[in-house]
Amino acid sequence: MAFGGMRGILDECIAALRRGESVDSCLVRYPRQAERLRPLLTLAQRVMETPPAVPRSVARGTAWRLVRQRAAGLRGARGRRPAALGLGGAWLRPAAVALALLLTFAGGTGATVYAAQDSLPDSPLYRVKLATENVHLWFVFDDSSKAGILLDQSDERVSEITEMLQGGETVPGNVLSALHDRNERAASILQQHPEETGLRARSLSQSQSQEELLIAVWPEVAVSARAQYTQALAQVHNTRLRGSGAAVSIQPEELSGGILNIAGEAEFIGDNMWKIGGMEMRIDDRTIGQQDLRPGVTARLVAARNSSGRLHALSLSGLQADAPPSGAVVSGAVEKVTDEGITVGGQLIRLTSETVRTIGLKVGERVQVTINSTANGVVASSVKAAGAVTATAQMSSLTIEGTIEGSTAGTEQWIVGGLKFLTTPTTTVDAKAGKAQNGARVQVEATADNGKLLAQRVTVLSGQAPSDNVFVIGVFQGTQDGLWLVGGLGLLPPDSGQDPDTGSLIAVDAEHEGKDLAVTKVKTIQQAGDNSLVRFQGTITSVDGSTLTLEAWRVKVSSAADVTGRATLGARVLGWGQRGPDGTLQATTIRVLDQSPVVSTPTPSPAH
Amino acid sequence: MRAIAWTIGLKSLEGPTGPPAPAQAAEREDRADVLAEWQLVQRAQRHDEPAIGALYETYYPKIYNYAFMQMGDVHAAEDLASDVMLKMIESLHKYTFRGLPFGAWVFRIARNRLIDLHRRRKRRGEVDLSETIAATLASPQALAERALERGQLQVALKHLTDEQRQVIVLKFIEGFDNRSVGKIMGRSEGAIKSLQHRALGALRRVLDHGDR
Repeated sequence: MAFGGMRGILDECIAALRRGESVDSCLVRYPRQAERLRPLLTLAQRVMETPPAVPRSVARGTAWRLVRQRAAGLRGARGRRPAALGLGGAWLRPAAVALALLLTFAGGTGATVYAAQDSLPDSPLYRVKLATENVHLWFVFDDSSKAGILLDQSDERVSEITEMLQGGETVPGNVLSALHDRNERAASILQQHPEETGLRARSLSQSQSQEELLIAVWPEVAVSARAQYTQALAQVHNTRLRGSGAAVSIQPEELSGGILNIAGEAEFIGDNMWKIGGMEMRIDDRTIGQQDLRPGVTARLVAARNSSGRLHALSLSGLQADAPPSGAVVSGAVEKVTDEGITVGGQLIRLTSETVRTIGLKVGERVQVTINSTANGVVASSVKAAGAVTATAQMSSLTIEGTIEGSTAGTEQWIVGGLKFLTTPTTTVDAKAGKAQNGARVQVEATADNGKLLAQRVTVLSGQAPSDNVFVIGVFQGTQDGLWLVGGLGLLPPDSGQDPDTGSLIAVDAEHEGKDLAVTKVKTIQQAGDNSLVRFQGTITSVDGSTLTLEAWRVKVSSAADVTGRATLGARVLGWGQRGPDGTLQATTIRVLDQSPVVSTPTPSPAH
Repeated sequence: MRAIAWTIGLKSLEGPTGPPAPAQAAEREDRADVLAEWQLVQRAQRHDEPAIGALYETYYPKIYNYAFMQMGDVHAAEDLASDVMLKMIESLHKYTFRGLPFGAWVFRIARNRLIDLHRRRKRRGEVDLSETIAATLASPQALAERALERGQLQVALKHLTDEQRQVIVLKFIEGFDNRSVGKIMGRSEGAIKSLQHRALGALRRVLDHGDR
């Protein structure tokens, strides 16, 4: 029997099995091939009878929620957008696609275009996808339809960016260029059509959400894509400015030094110049929300830095006479993923459509979540990979408390506790408790990189401490040349006592000894190899017996916990804890950062 | 004319003792199912939520099973199934009926996603955990100890080529016909018949080795 014949008979018998025939009844028809057929057909039948893997109901529910939301969004977009082609144009749509294939992809195949539809910016087929979109637009002759499609395509770019981030990739330049291109073309059309109020409103709302997303994802943008990033960000910002009636714009070069998130008291200097938390910046009619700014209020804003280090506020996101809590930050392993959200430290954190998420969520994955309390419970405003995911990153992460001894213009460099810190394009400055200026006590969360300390977050603390006292938290890496290495920093060891275990997380009190920092006291926060602890930081909004609530995050503090400072309402806290036998988070170490409340009148949380 | 061609087509498949009686009825039933599903898809294209829900209920478990059998990782399979469902909804307006089951189109998305995922993992230098597990569990003793038929099959599938694995999962587990499998994999029907023959042979050798 030729191979072709055997494979045909096998195929016919398999079809018969699928219709419910038995192996034997099929073999009766092919007695000569029965010996060779039997084991294959028996195996085929066994495979067909294998029970399917059944998805978990929570995962199924979560996916359905996402699908339903997406379907609702598409339904809404369809309602707002007129048909892509007008009267008599229905035939043009397939013609456009067909022509697109011919014109755009000479040398390519239909399969290539088909495959390109699902491609991401890191795929070689991505340019085919973009080209197909462009060719599609050639056959849309109505301006409003074209603007609607461009806004859809812009939305697709955002989905691609999110997908890249959730896959652990950086954001490349091509998708940012394409985002800028689609937005620019849509804005240009809509400028000529003031009567298109629905589309203009959609463009404005899309620009706002895209600006927020772009600001949030800056750290994930590939270095080679920075120019495309600033162009895309400037474009969406300018669309918002135009939407508010302002006849001004911001240039991409003005964003080239990166983005800073700043919160602090506003002080007017003159000629559109302000100090926010002691940091000088320009706030003018190119700053969205600037009209409500008054001296003395606490402002939370996003500022762009140009290549000279000068700051220019892009938008004000909050103005309060009293500084409100800005959200607790929790880092730990994901214990559960459900259709409602994720569980970290035994507490459910809800995820909503507003949550900015830059990683996929899996049980066991270490995440950093910024949480807020809402009427619906604890809700995440952002979820990202915990800063110190890898062993190397954990080794080079440091938290330092000390006094500001100097800073350069544009605050690109700070001297804190005798250590030089460089700010990065994403450094966040929280100056709600006082001005970020010389003499202020601050906490700096930093990473050590090639001998440089890069500040990720600078928090001005209330209250004073001896100016020569420095407090350091980091991983003990061993000794080198007679110095302790802690998070990449060299410290003079104490006169007596044993070295901590290499790899353990330690807290160190140190004092200046000449140019060096000498350890005076050391405590172990987390043993080497123990990844069960959850790190939390936030403002105390309620104290109920032994339970502290940090803006919706609950922690039990037993007498066994190592507590430094007095836990008063409105003060900020940094701590670690782990799940106790009853499922609650039990604090193991707590450090109260502020000596006096930062929030003067916190809203008490109900007892839990 | 069509009826004659259809009969001739079926005659060419006849064996020595004639075609099985239920074949034509089953073909008609399959075609009716495909058409009924096409009507459902048309409703979903008009954003009808019950229709979208019905498609989701049908395809989420199938895609999950497809992904799990290939990757052996519950979370990765869940992510992929969710991802494919979102893509299905977003791209639904692009789907046109050409006589093939809608499932072939959905599985084509899943296959592309799976290829992208493998490519990305490879580029990031990630170890395929499921392969590591397969290597550990594929010893005869370990295979013999596997209580779950599905687990045994999943481990055995790891020893097949990607195309052989695809054809086993799509044809025997997901129940597609040769034409649909060909469409999903970008191969001809003839190629699928050959692949199916080789894949069953290879799977048999892996399992026989494990059972000894």
